[in-house]
Amino acid sequence: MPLLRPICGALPVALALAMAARPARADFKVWYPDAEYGETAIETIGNWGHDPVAARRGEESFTEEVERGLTPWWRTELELEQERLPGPGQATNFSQVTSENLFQFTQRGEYWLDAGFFFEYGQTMLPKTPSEITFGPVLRKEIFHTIDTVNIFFEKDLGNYASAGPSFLYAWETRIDLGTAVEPGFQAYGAPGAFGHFAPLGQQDHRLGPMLFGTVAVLGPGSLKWNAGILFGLTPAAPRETIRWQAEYEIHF
Amino acid sequence: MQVLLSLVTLFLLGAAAPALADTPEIAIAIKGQQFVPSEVEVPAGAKIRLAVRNEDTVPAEFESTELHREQVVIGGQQITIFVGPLDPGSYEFFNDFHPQSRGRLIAK
Repeated sequence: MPLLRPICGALPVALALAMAARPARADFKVWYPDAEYGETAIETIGNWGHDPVAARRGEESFTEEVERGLTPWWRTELELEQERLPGPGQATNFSQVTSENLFQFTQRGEYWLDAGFFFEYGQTMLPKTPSEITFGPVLRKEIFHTIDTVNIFFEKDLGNYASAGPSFLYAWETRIDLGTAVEPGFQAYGAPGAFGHFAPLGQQDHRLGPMLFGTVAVLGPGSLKWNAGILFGLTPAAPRETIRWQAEYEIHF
Repeated sequence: MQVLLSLVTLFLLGAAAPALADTPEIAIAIKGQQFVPSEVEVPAGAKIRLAVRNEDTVPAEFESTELHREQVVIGGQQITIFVGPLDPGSYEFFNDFHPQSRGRLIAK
């Protein structure tokens, strides 16, 4: 029995490190319930995690996307993802090719709440790593001069290396509606763990931090929307700081 | 988790509630890549429905940084954009495909 005590003590630490060894998500992006019919855009998203603990330091992910609003209710995107796991000696790998789809249910501002649905299939490019599907509602409410958007997603691994059950992800964004070209706000992202069996809080990944949101209405033959900021880790499983950025260039033709 | 799902359901039910039938409709046309009229008076403090008709053959995009709205309108077609309730003031909009084409909503 005395032998079990150090093992039991080390187990939560090992689990926390195992959680930390897997990025919380491929990209830190809050989806809006807008199909943006007729728009074509390219987009890049990136993040870099820093932490005093080497095992949680150096997490990176980058995505490049092409997107098109095909109908008034369906927008589709094709995305390439690169990831670097946290910890020393890790390399940045081309990790996934992803098909992302947003289905718009309501016209913006028509009802009490704007609603849409997100569905994504991610084909892994790495050995011994599962492909995955991610889906869930996308909701937005404009109230008290804020624009508040929440994503409630479920992610399910596919294939031989799949984990047992779907896991739960959320993203939250509040943007202060100043009506200006640059507006402040905040974002939060979280990965509590398997659906219905959340991990202990210390092993869950939760991040929250301030963001700036900007628009450059005329930039060459298109327009640019960007947002960037820093997310602070709220739990030990998350890096202490995550710098994230997102830029979308809408092409007019 | 049940609480979370209940909240999501309530949100979706709220979203499914019908829009107010008395939402004022304001018609704006795009002719020769210009907004007609280019200045529109709308009631402050009320939700309004903008019916934007593109009478040109080329696409346009109604966009407003101040209103947080953008929507492409194909040539010969019409879109509906809901905005408000607005505080009293002036809100600029433009055609993102031809940014020199601009207009204003004046909320009073």
